[in-house]
Amino acid sequence: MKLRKISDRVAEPAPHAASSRGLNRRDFLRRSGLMAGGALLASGIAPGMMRRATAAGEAPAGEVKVVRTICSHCSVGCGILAEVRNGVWEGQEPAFDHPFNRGAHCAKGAAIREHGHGERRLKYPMKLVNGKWKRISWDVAINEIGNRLLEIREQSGPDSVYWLGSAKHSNEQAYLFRKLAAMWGTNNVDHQARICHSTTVAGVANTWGYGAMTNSYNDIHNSRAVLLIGSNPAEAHPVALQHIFKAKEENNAPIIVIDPRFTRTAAHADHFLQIRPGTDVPIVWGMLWHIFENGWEDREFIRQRVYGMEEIRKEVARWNPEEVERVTGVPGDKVRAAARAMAENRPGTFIWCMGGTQHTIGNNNTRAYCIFQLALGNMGVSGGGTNIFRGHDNVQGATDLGVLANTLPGYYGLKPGSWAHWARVWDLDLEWIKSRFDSGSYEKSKGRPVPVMNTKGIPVSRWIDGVLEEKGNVAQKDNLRAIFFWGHAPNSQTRGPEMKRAMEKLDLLVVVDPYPTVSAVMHDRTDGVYLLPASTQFETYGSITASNRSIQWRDRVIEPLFESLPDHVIMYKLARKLGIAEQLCKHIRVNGEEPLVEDITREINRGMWTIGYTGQSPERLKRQQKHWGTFDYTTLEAEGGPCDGEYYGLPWPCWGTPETGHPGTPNLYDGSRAVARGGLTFRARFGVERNGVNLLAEGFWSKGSEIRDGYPEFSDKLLRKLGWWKDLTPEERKAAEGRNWKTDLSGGIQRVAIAHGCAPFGNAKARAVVWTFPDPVPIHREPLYTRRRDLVARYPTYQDRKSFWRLPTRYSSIQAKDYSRDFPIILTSGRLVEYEGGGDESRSNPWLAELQQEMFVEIHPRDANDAGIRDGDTVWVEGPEGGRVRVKALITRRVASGVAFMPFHFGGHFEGRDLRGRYPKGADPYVLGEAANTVLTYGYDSVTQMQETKVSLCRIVRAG
Amino acid sequence: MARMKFYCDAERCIECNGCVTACKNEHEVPWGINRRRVVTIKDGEPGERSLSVACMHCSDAPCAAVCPVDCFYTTGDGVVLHDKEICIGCGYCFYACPFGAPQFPADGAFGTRGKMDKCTFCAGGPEEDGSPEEQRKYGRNRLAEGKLPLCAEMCATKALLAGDANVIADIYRQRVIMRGASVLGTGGLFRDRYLRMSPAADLRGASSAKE
Amino acid sequence: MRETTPIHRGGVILLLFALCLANPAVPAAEAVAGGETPIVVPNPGSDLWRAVRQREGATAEMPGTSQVKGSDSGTLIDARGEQWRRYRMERLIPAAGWILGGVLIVLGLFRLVRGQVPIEGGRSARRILRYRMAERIAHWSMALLFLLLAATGLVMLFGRTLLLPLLGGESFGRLAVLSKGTHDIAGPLFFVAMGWMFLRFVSRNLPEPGDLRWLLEGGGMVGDRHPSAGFFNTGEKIVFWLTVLGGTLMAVTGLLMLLPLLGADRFLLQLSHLLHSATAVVLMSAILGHIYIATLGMEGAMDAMKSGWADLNWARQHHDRWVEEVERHGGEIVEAGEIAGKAGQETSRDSPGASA
Repeated sequence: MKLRKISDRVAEPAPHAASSRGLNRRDFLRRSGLMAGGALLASGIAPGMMRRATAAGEAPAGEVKVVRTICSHCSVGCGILAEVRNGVWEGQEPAFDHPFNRGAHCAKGAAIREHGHGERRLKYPMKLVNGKWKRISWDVAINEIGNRLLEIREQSGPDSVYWLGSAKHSNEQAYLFRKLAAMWGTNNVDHQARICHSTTVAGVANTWGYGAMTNSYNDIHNSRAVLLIGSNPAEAHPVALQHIFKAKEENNAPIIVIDPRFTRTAAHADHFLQIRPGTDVPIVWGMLWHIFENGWEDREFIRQRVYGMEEIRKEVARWNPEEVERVTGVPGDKVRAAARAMAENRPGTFIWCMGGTQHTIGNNNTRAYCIFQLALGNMGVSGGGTNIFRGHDNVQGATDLGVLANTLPGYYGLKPGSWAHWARVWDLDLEWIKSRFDSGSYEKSKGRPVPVMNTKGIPVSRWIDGVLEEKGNVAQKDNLRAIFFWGHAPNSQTRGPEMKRAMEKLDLLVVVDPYPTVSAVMHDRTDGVYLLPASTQFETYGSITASNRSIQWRDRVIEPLFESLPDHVIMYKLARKLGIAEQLCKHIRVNGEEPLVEDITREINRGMWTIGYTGQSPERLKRQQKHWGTFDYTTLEAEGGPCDGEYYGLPWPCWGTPETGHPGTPNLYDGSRAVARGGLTFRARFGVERNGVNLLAEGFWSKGSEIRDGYPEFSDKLLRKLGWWKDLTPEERKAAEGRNWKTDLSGGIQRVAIAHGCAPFGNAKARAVVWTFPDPVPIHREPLYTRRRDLVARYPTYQDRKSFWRLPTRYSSIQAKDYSRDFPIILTSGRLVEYEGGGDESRSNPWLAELQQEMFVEIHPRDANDAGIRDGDTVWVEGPEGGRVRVKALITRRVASGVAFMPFHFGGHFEGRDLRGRYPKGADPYVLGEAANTVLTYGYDSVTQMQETKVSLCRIVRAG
Repeated sequence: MARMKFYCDAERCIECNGCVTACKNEHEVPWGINRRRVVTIKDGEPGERSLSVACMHCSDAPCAAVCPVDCFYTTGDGVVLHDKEICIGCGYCFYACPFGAPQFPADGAFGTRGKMDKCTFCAGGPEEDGSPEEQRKYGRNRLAEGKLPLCAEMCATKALLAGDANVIADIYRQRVIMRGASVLGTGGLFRDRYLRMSPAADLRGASSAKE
Repeated sequence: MRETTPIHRGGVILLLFALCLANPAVPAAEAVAGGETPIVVPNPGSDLWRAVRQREGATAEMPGTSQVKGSDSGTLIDARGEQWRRYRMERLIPAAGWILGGVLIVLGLFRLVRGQVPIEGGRSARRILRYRMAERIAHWSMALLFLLLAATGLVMLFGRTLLLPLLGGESFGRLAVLSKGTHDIAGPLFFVAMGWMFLRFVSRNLPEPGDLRWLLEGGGMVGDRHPSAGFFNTGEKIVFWLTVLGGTLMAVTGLLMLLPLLGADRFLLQLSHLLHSATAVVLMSAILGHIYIATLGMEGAMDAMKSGWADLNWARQHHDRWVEEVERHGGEIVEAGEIAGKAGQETSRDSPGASA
């Protein structure tokens, strides 16, 4: 009798949880054709063969190589030591000396080595033929896709193709992608930042200059109070908690959580304010009301560095405790306690995430947060700041590199000057670039037609409408007809049923991703879909920008598995087919089909003067990566060693050229240090004066500044006026003539300004009033789908807009109708720690998938009892726009009565149907489930077109 | 001689499950077998706390006491290990263990209870240290490599500690002094300073988000 | 997903364990988590687990939640394991030893005192057909499997105490693995054999009016009279029903313990083990008696189970009503010499003497 031992099974892949039993590794290899001599076999490496799998008896040979790389999940940027032997990723060790995570990981980071298995990956290029997936070669794929694109371009113009990029790209890939879209001739390019922190970027940048996290995770060590609103780092950024706990335990910093849900973070807070979803402005104004009422604000800071606080006072005065409680549901004493705790414990940090940004008034929310910190004087100090936790591992970088419909890399915008700047960096003829765009015009400015290249594109949140809206309503030549999902999960976007229709209406749908994603299955198409296998982040290398603006170099761990290719190789292949490869890589060396990553980094260095991406040369970044252990855990500054004095990741702005040796800026707007040592002022971005009021700083300057007051941004003219022109070298003078700090490619203007202790971008006040926005003073507006009809008259939404980012956008016409009777429960959404984004990657990782096997909706016991629902029942969650999902009920007090919550990582079921059979064989994630966004509804931010995912309505009924 | 222990700091554990996947990663533990898990008590309510649990490597281990074949042994470091060659998969250790640590795969053609698998404190089994045989049966032997269990090493918030009981006790004591709070405290300081409510008051408030 | 519903079973558990054990519930965690407590610093673990045990939502009676889905994964600490441990180590093993040993001693004494029960009037020349081939196979396969299960079960119960010191780790380990494997396979087969036997014999094992009297007379072991009996006497019926009901219980609890896929939680498993082991002791005791009678205790008792034919005198002595019935219906009663020829007819459908 042969008894099987568990040990015989250790190396086998996990059997599948519920349905279809998983293949074992050998079956998998055989079926995927890799046993029969794929490229990988030729190189002697069985893909995904692991240490334990190979270790069956014989001792493994070969040296173990330790590769330093960076986690690919969230924006914390945790360091990883990957142990590789014979090209196989055998082990993962904690990087104890990494300054961000000290070896720590969350569930996702601790399971990252599964990328070396990649069993559920998309393995080769595929094409949908009569509803069946057919394997094709790369050449065929690129050829067919290219021909179709050119045909569509011919018929409908370049704007009918949508380039949807990704925050999962490295900086170099993101940059190349944006450049590719520009060469193709469209601004219809965007990525996830639109739907995660676009309102932050817009709101924050318009308040004080840059739209990014001002301090760092590590700097929270210095905080004496921590306020989190719409942020659940315990699940979304678990490693951030190690820094927050340090402040909590060592500084006795009160942790205040404001959220509609009693989250895992709230469980560890000292104080929890449970607000009604969508009432961020009222709760912040409610706290500020107490601060102004008691004179807790920092008057001197406001006088020196803030414009427009008086107007804020007027708005805040309306938010007395009674009104705050009426609107948010939070009792007055709790609001007061939070305000007092923040006032008495300075500096305090203010953290927010998507709970604040994903609203129709997202930009109002983010500005209100900024103003709160300005009032307390918490800006520009270590331990203070607005610590905005970004989502994906490189969403900050992809945003900085302009994978956006409204800007070129570096937030240069789309103005003629912006294009001229980048044409110079690219060394291309501006007229040629212009000729690539549609020759018409879609909108007028001051009576004159605006060229298409200077017109904002369609944002990713609205691509559905770019396809479905009547041609006459879309402000471009034709509807969108083709779309690239280049590292994007469609289930992270609202309005599922409409998205399905849009996908079906397209002529061409191309998915470029390591996984097939929900884009491969959610529609009923039978052809016109291509799946191109992209490599993961660990199969290529390059730089990525963490949330705190630190740029880290990520090394390649393994060679691309299966037939996958790195994104920049695919971009090059496509560009060559489209006839723009030469321009795309004019100053980038190409090895075979792979553009040299370091050359792309150098090109980024040459052009990104606005936000100081200029000093982070590949050499400096690689040196820092090699010596990451020399950086301090709290200050991020290297003490001794080859990087002495530099901050980890050369957090942008890292001014001037690499040779300038700027150490990076650890905390933005911090006047206590010299600019050359990472100090900064608020940016002079909005002019010098408004209605007779000085917009420049008054009586404030950064350490060592030779101008001891506010000053405007630097240009050749200002240098001359100050008599500093002579400080430029002759070459610099030549380059700087007629330029400013943003466009001087020599970096001379920046160098000289910094040499005199000045910030190149000027020294101004932050503005509490953004007069260019629909709501100059942030005000509360009820969500489009609200239960509080009694508040609609007092806090109405915006009027509908006819053409906003090329599309009609609805507000009041939706809010006018009362849905609350039929859909009485507020629906909100959020994250789980085990999964990320649309979840295709993490749900395909058995170590993670086992921990979250079913999609669910959180319902308060009261609502459940009212609806006759028991814990574990299957229920239908139905939205007011007709979307519905079949999920499991989780009865919990995490949500308040009247509020339901769904995680948004699931996909692969659609309105009750299991789509597992539609995935290419062997590429279906272990866990499938309904997408929360199938139910979530219309609603877009009034500035950035951010989607509203945090407040909608629904009804929940037991499934029969 | 060191006496190895795990300790999970409930004030810091955020149920991120990093320890669970780190274990899966390090030992390639198959689906359905979890040598470590995180348990949350009072989920979604004030006072919610999470703890990561695995084999606690007890001094007077109940599993060893009830084992009908005496397959358990305690190493010099105080780590409780077992011999899969002797284990008969009866499940008694699972009945006796208060922490639910022993795991059993469904094995063979009929899915019968296979040989027991549990946390080894990353110390392998009776085979030669670091041998392929040991790795295959018990996973990696980190202790032999001079490393501590990966779950604790990778803990996101350094809640899970592993190592010499005395060292852990020291770390723990430092933290408690720093916090001035009990092991399962709920932020009494904030309440006293800012809320001045009766201690019994529910910080969360039943009236929140009412409409 | 995370589940929150606590399951309340406290009452049942307490009741059950209170019945089995007189011991008060002793908290386990201190003993197990306390460790080799250093002299100077208190073990943080003991503080923690003491605190945990006082918290709502940590214990088996009111579990918490866990993303790891498995038996009782939501339970942080379960003190019932300690109760089960005491049951097995301090009650079951000694008690089983005493009971089984006691039964053997009693039977031995009984034999010495009472001697073998002879066939009154000696063996007859005539034989009566008692068991057909199928029935004998059913009985013997069951019997064999029972013995196998008992032996391998006893290895699990007493092996560590008795065999391990004798055989040494390696040999005992091999024996234990073999025993457990045999037990796992023999168990389900036993259940099948038992089912077969049940179908063949159940109609003859239904209670009859005479059973009470038979019982009152102690089956003839007490006093000198032979109580009247049908095909099966009441003693045999008791063994039958004990085997069937006990066997079913053994099978169900055994499968629960054997197959993790059935998803039994720890409490159910502990309960299963408790029932399985207790029933095993009862059954083994009963079967010891059964075997005693068949072999040492009574002359001619095993004949029919060996050849199918019983001595007519023996049959009259112990199963008078059955013999009468067979004679009334002209059943198969033959001369001893004719048996060889009759053997071929054993395939006939109806069991001899099956009462309507």
